[in-house]
Formats: sequence, structure tokens, C-alpha cells
Amino acid sequence: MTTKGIENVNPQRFVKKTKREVTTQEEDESVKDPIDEREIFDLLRDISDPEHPMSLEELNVVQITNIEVDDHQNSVKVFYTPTIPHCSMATLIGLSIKVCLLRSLPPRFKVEVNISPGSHASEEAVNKQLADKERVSAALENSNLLEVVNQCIVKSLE
Amino acid sequence: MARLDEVCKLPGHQGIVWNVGWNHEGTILISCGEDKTVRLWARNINSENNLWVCHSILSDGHQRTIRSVSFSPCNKLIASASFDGTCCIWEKKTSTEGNQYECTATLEGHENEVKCVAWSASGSFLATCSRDKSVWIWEVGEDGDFECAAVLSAHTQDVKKVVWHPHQDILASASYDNTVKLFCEEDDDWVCFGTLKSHDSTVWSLAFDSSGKNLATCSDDRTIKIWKEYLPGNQFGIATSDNTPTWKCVCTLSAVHPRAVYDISWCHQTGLIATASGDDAIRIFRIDPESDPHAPTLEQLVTVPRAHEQDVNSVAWNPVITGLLASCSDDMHLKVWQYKG
Amino acid sequence: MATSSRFSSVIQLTDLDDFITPSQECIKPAKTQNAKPITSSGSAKIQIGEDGTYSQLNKEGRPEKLQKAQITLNDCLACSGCITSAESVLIGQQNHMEFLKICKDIELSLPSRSFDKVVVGLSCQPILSFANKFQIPPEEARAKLSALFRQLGAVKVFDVESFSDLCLVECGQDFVHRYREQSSNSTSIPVLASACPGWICYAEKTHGNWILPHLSEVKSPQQIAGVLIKDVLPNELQTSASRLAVVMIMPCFDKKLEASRSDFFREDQQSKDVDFVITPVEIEQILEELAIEFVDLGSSQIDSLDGTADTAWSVPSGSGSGGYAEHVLRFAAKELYGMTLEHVKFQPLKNSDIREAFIEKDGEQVLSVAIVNGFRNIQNLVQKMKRKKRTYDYVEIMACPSGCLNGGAQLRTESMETKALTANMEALHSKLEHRQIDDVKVNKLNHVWLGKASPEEHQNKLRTSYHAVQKSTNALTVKW
Repeated sequence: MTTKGIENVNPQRFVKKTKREVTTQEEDESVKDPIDEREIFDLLRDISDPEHPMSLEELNVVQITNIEVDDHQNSVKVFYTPTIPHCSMATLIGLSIKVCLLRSLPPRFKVEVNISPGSHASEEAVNKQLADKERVSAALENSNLLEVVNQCIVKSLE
Repeated sequence: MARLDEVCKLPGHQGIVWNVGWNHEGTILISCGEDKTVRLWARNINSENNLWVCHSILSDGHQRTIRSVSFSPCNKLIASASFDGTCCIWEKKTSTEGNQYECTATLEGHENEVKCVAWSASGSFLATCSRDKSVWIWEVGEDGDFECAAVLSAHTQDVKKVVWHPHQDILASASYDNTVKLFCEEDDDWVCFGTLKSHDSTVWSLAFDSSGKNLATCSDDRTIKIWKEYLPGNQFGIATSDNTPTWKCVCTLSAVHPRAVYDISWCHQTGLIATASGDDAIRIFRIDPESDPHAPTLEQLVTVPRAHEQDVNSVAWNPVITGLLASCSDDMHLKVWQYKG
Repeated sequence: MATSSRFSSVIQLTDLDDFITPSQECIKPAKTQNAKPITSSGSAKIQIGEDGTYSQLNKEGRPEKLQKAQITLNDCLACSGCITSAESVLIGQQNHMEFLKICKDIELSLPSRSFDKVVVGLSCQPILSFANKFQIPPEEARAKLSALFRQLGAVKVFDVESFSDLCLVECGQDFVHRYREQSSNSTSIPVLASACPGWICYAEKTHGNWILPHLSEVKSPQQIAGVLIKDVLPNELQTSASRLAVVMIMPCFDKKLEASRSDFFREDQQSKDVDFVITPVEIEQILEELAIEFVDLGSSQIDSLDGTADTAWSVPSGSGSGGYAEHVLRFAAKELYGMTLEHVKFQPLKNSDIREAFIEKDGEQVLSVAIVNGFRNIQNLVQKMKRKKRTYDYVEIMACPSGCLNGGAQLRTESMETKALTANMEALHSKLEHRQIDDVKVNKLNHVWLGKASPEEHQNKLRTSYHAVQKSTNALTVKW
């Protein structure tokens, strides 16, 4: 059961990577811009945890090594790692990642968001829910839920 | 070589188009989606190329996404199911200004998103299903009233789709719990008489063939399956219990769809099976006529790889015009296709 | 989940939990008694002991045991989240094992025992359930159940039905009052019976404020019996209300939810009106636990409040759920129109779970009542009311199809289908002695209990209130 307040009171904090320099080529809109792991990571790193004022990068929830991109196949896969295996916020964090990518990437991309294997007690159930486009669509029509998701991803979309 | 030719591409919906269907005369195409509207499309007989155009928009019935629409067998009523937890009944009113549809009843009772609505072949029942895990059967009264005839809690998860048998009052439902369930009326109540287990993930949709003796299902597990009805005392040695038919999975097609299969439509005229998939493609299959009916094989006739720019959510064969297929997508468009064998 | 069917289907429908285990999905924030502020550096250290208890190191580095967060049945009732998904949590507080432990503690006179005496109320539906399962006359099943509970240590065993007339009389009077008030109060009619906690739970959680004024405020026989027993018996048994465990034997788990409502906790006595609700399926488990065969149980008499043992057993005339609709119709016909009804016949409509009866005066229908059982019929009634269509003047509503005789925790036999089982139960019930309300008896009971209590006090004892449950808007806990 949910305990009062924050579940993981003292999560480990990780060092942030430095921001990548934007190359002049990238700023040129006319050049076709293939998407890579680094770009996905940059989109996700600043998403904040729903409970902590920390980013998913600082909490090591998203890592560049857990992102798989196949630009040619229009495929993006993100594996994220909840801070604790019973984290009840896991679905909400996954939803935030998914929404952030759906809003940022060109519509040709198929986005899959999964929990890193073995890192959560309800891994399969959470993955199934996040993969269900109908459930995700319906969730985003819930104004209370949408507000929290927006708060989580506001920094990353800046 | 079989082909599926694009007849037209229909813009209009603002957002995901979730479901397409036809009226029973095959003259009206119907769609619904994220923009909370139901749209009716008909052939513009004045135009040169005989294209489909939107002639009515039904709005103000729902507060949230409309997930599913269905024409009544008499073609006078339309039912729409929404994430707002209700189902609206729209009635055709003919006036001097032409045909107008008016929302004449709102069916309430589901706890949350209604995912699908379907009229029975006889027109006497309506079925709805929801994320609240229940399937409801509504009896259509003479006075246009809808009474709840059953609340069926057989599924353990979100119920995605309900489809009626083409001739009998038998209902099939598909669920996030990976199963399909079959229901029929017994005395004054409805009961579940069969559970079809074989899919490894959400069963998104299902379709009966014209005889009602075969059922096709499609799933998030990227497969489609064919199920066959075996009656009690059948000569093929398939066991049945409680004097009810057994539905056996006789064919599984895997390694064809690279992503989830969201919808499946079995043409009652031609026997062709169309699928809508999360890989943006539409595929057409038929049961190989040479194959053993108890272990049929599916023959892939056509693949249209980029049928839409995003996920294809629904496909529907026209019930009258041979080979005419409608589809809709996350890309906000409907398309009409012509199959040529 | 094996136990889910022991609740009524109505309660099962309000279960929105999707797949995550109860411990994860329960959205009720647990209250901790000694929540100490965590320092800003977040240096709280928690240790898990070998016995599985959690300790927090205090400033001096010494471990202090942390309290386990507990969710009570009542938390669940007040919450708009799940209900049955947390069954395992829910029932923890109300299960037969705890009841057995209490009996054992009393037997051993353990100083740590929570109760000193046990009193049991037997409801007729569980008795009939045992009679049906073991193919014995209901009177015999009743005597055996009485023997079982005496063997476990009960000092008194009553029929719940011996108190239900108090409830019925109050229901009748309440109805007549509201019927007369209908021109000035739009929510006074229809009056909806409130004895079924499954139905109440659904009304409070799903429909809320618009429907609650229609609910009869009269407590159910279970709760009236609880208050009465705790008022009257402690003196005779030389104990206090809080040390007297009142145990009710009921046909479904929903009754546990009812007993744990905070409305039924007496602050002045620091005790619940009903401490335990035990159902037939749990009695079977008790028998198994103690290695007792039901058929081998002896027989024992049933107590009555005035001390005369084994008075003839009778149940209120009418439905197997308690006869509310029939009594209200009889009483109102007499009171309002001076008509004495010989027979009341309920006519089934679309299905046997919706039956109506009405009376006419000068060719005009003046009173209509109905018995509505099962969720689909409740649904149709509620939707009609919502659309402001005319329904009935009084409706007896039970969440289970076929009403309480088919309660969710009644015994099932593998060889018998639900329909045949229900038919058997109805046949057994119809053969019991059915009684009309005996005013003399009711007055006597009232006198013993309430003596010279004022009408207000009297009403307080017999009436309760309902509370709409607000839907949670906390996005961190919303299920999608």
C-alpha cells in the first residue's frame, strides 16, 4: 500500500551529462535529420519525477545505453528503470516518457516504452498498459492525469 | 495478381479516426474518432469520379473520444460508444432540410470508457463493453427505450470489442485479458458459454464469417487466428461439454504482422479477410480453398505497406458492393479501397 | 480471485483495479501515528529486522519500531478507489480466523484478550443454506449452528429475525411519513430499501448525492440487533458493550462492509455495534479447522431476550431477503387507506428478479411497491429515476440476483446449478412459518430496550445516514 508521502525518500542521485552542442548542420531544417539515441536521451533527460524535484537523468531512470533507435525502420525503444522495484509511480513515469516522445518525434516513429527487464515487480503489466494505445489515448483525456504528465515533461519540451 | 487500389482518401476528422463501418445497404460509410464526432459519408453521385463525401456530422453527443459506431439493422438508428462512459443512440429524422440525426437516448451505466457498441442481427439487442471489464446487453424496447438485460462480468480485464453472430443472438467479446468469450441467452438471463484461449496478449478485434461457424481474431501478440465451431456430438471427435459447442483454434498466422493487429474484417460476400495493423499496413487474406477445413491455411493475397501514414485502426468490408473496403487511421484520414482479384 | 464471488456482483463491478496487486494499487494514504518529520537531508534510515518488522534509526542511532500501515475495511468504504481488489486486505480484519482466536482467548482467559463474552445472531438465510446443503430440516440446521457457536463459547445465540420486526415497523412508519410528505418534498418518493450494503455501497460510490435522499434511513436488522444487544445485554452478562463481541451470521461478505461503517461505531461505548460478520463459507472453514463434521453437531436451543428459550421460529412474511416490500405495502395500505390485505402477490415482470405489487382504490392505483434484485434490474430502476420517470412508491433492493437467499457467501454444491439451488432455497424459505408483525411483541421489545427513551433517542437507535463518496482526482493515484 502507498505509504504516506514519498516512497523512496532518499534516492541515489547521479551526475548529469553535459548538454550536447547543437551543430550548425542540425539547425539547418532543410537537411534530413536522422534521429539517434543521443537525441532521444536529450528529449527525456529533463523529464521530472512525479514525486521528486529531480530529473529522470539524475535518478538514472533513463540512460542513453537503454535507448534503441532504428531511424530507417522508424523505431524508437526506450527502457526505463524505476528507482525501486515496487515504485507505484512506474506507470506514470512511463506514460510521461511516452507522451514526451509522441509529442516531439515525427509521427512516422513507432514508440515503445518498456521497463528495463527485472527492475520492477509489475514489469509485464506496466509494459502491457504502456503499449496499449487505446488506454494511453483515454488516459490523456483525463485532465487530472494530463496535468501531472504535463508538469513532468514541461522542462524537457522547453 | 490481386490488388487493393485506393479509391479515395477522406480528410475531415480532427485527430485519430478510431472506427469505420457501413450501413447494411452499403450506401453510407460511418466513422468516429478523437474529435468527438461521428461522420457519415456517401457517394457523391453528381461528381465525375463518384467519390465519397461527408454529408453529416453528429456532434454534441459525447464529451470525450468516440471509440466505436454501429448502424442498426434497420439502418434508422446509429449507436456510438465513447470514452466518456456512455453510449448514444442517434435517430434519423426526415425533415424538409433532409435527413438529420438526433441523439434520442443516452445509455449510462458503465463505470468508465466504453470501447465498443454493436447491434445484434435481429435488431433486438445492443451490446456494449468497457474498461470496467463488463459487457452489457441492452434490450431494445418497442417504445425506443433501452433496458439493461444483462451485465456480464466474465472478463478479468478491459473488454475491447463486442461482435454479434450474423444470424443468432450470440455475442462474442475480445479482451485485454487475452481471451474471447461467447455469450447466449438462457432462460431470462445471459450466460457465458465459451472462453477462447490461445492469444498471448490483448485480443483487439474479431469477426465471424458469413455462416457464423468460423471466427477470426486479431491480437497485440501480432497474430491472427481462425476458430471453428464444433457442435455437440460432432463426427470429428472434438469434445464438447454441457451440450454447448466447442470453439477450437484451427489456424494461427504469425510472423506476418510485425506489429499489433488492431482490426479484422471478414467479408460475408467474398470470404476475404482484411487486417488493420500498427505497422500502417492493410493486408488481405483468404482461407486456402485447397486446405483441410479442420486445419485451414491462410493465403496472403495483398499487402499495402504504407496504406496510411500511421497505425491503421479499423477496416470494414462493404456488405453489398463486392470488394469495397474502408479503413481509418491515427493519421486523421479514412480511405476507401477496391479489391481486384 | 477465489473469494471475489462472495461479494455481490454490484460491488464487484465497482472494482476498477486493473492488474496491479492490491498492495500496489491501494490509493488510500495510510496514516501513521507517530510520523516523525524526515530531516531535510533525507537521512532517515530504515532497517528491516529478522522478524520482518521495520525500524527507523533515531537521532541517537537506536532503532525504533515503525508501525505497519494498515488499511481497515472502513478506509476502503470511504475511498473511491478499488474495493474488491483489496479483498485480501479488507477481509483481514473480519475473517473467521480472528473470530476463532477471540473465542480461544476467552476460553483461556488470556489477559490480552480483546473481548470477554460472545453473543451470536443467526440470520435465516445461512441456516437455510446449511439445511439445503446437508438435506436436513431448517430447524435442525438452526439447532446445529446454535450448538456450534455455543461450543465455540457463545453465551447467547439469537435469531436475527427476532429483532427484524423493529426494523420493519420503522420502515413502515418511515414510508408512510414520506408518502404523506411527497407533495412538498420531491425526493421523498420512491423510498429505496437500504438493508443491502452492496446496493448502498454502489449508490454512495457511483450515484452519490442525487440518489441518497431516496434511501430509507432505517438501519438493517443486523445493525439494529447489534445496538440492541449492546444496550441490553452487558448488564445481564456483567460485562461492558466494548467487551461483548457481537457476531452476526450473514449470507454475504457485503454485510462485513456494513458492520465496519464508522456510522456504526459508538463513541460513548468505544465499540462497534456489530463486531464480526461470519458467513456460511467461513463456517465451513471453521468446521474444517476444528475437524468437526456439521452432521455430527448436537443441537442447542435459541435464546430470546426475555429469557424464554426456544420460542417457535418464524420469519417475516414476504421475500427471503427480509420481507420489506410486503410489510411496507401492508402497513401503508392499512395506515393510509384503511385496507387490510389478505394476500400480497408480487407479479414478476421481464424476469423473476423484478416483481411488483400494487393496490387500487376506486379503480385507481394508489400504492405501488417492487422487489428489485440483481444489478441489471437495479440499473434499470436507477436510470429510470435519473430520467425522472415514474417508478414505484417503495422498492426493496438487493444486489444479489434472487436476493439474500442467494447471497454471495452461501454454500454452493457442485452438483447443483445456481438456478436449481435458488429454487430449493426459495422452497425451503416458503415452508418456514411466516408471521405478520405482532405489535404486542414489538412494544414489549421496545420497552425492554428503550424504556422511556424520547422519540429522538429512539430514532437515533434505529436510523442512520449515507454519504456520497467523492471520486478521487489525485492524478498520482488515478487508474487508467
